[in-house]
Amino acid sequence: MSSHTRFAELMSKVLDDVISDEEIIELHTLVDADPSLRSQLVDHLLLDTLLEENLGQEPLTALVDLVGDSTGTLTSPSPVLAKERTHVEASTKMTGRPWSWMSGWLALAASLLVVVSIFTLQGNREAFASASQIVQSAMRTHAAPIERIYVVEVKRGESNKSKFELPRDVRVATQGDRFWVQMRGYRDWAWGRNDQGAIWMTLGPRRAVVVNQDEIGVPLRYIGDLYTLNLETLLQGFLKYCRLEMSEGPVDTTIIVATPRRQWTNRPLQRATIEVDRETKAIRKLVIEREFGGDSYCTVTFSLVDSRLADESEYAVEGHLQEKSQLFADDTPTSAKRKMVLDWFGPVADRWILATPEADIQQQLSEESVTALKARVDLLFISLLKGDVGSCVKLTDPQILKEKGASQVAAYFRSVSVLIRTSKITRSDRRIVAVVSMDQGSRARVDIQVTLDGVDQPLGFEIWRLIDGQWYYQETPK
Amino acid sequence: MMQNSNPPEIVGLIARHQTRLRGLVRCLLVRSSDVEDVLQEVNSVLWEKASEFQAGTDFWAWASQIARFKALNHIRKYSRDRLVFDDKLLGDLADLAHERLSQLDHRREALEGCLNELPPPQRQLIDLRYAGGHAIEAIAEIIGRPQASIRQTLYRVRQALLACIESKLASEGGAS
Repeated sequence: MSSHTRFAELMSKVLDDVISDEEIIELHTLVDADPSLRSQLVDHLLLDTLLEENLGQEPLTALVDLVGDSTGTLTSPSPVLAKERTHVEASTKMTGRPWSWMSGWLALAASLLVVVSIFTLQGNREAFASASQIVQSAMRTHAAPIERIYVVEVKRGESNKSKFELPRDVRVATQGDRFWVQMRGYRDWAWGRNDQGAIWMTLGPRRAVVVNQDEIGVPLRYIGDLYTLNLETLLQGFLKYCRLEMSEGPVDTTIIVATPRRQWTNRPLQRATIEVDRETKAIRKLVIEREFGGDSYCTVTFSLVDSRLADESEYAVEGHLQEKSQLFADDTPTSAKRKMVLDWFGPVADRWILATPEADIQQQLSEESVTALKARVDLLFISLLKGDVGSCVKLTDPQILKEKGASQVAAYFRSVSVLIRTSKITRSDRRIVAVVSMDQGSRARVDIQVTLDGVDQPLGFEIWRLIDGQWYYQETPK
Repeated sequence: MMQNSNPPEIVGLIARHQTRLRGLVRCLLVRSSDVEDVLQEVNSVLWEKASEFQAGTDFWAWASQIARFKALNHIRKYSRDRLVFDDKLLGDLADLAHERLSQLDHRREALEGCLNELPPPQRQLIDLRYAGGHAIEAIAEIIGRPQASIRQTLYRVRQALLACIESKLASEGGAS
């Protein structure tokens, strides 16, 4: 084999990140012996750098990760094959680039932030490292099969107070990323969330209802938001999106204050204070402060009151029911669920479940508006099919473009476009099965069903926002 | 008299030269795995030594020296290949990279044109690799072709892109 042929083989492996130590030594030897190969080596490596910059897959430094929001809310704007999704996740792991990416121009902006952060964080880097280590230790502690019980106290701003009466005694049991909640008051009941975001709730020891996402009324959604404690996700979010400051706490605890660098959830977090036990690394207290503007704030305090071996069964609704009980879920009409909840809790639960989701749509969105929205959803998909990234960007909510940067959004659409074209989804494979009004009609969730080879794929959702009478794509929640 | 750069100026200069610096470091380390770490060190040093940089002088000449030093230092410190990769070879590679990177803007522009000229199947491969960030194994599964074939084709596409860039640069040089 000629040295040039072997060089090509080795170079190809370098560029695809699969070269071994022995092979790289061989490459060096080849390049050392043949000066003509040096320029080829340099040219290929520079091309690789430029391609990564131009096409958006930019490995970023850990420091960039500290200063920039990276995962963002943009995910695939269209449901694609589950198989393809697996590939994406798997390949991300295989490339060995755990950092999130940004496109070329955004990388430049991020680089600027790197340097600024070097300037501003120079003295705080060690402190941050220590604080993040403690948060990581807490994550490991809470991953153990020990269930921890927290008493929850909620303080609300004046404008929030009158909205709904909250129970006085609420306890959240949590283990890892899972939780269930015990509410005590006029009625004792338990609730939790399933993987699809539906809320299950017990109505006594023998009955329970599962309220699907599109059936959840505003008060129940509010309760869900307040008491949901996906601890693992929350701590990961703190590590990724927050500035962390550490200080000594009371009685053998360390206090970590997490302040978001920018908004990273749809529940605007102003600050979180975590009190970690120095010895066990368990979270003794977690205070979450949310600011909705004006005096519409809310502070939720989770205080550790008990630790015990986790009872796995209690993280599903069935674990809270006695034998011969009834579970009212998908096959139960929304109106029937609503009646049961009203009968059990009384008038306080009047709006916990929407009268009928369909009626809500009609009430909030006119027929013309729904038609216009469907046309825009279709237009986005056609643009993705054609690889017309420019049109996709034009269809995107200007606020998202401002937050993420047009380059990042474009790079994302480009990537999704490739996946869609590769998976050969056509327009006829997709159908909009529902349009659900959100936020008094200012946003809408579009439920999209993709059927491939006669098999329905998992339902996909897109969120669109109405701005000056025109619909704009916002995100595709997982 | 020359003035030292102020912080916003130096921040802007460092940011604008990230691709060049990354390219130079990559050419010396060859493997991509440690590039970001070394680049981070380079950024830190550039910032720490900002007061030494005289406004109005050649930032790239100054910064590339630091990047070169940091990359070589990293190789000597951590690389198992240090016995093979002698200083002369590293110096040659650094010189070559420095020369190519001085034309970075032209190369970038030429690359954009060349990417647009790629036939769709080749463009798809490049998009999957770089825009999608997929490993060869994943691309092979998505496209349904053996990994070796994908790797070979990708290499050929890269070579085609390099030839196209050179041709565009040459015609640009000829025209001007």
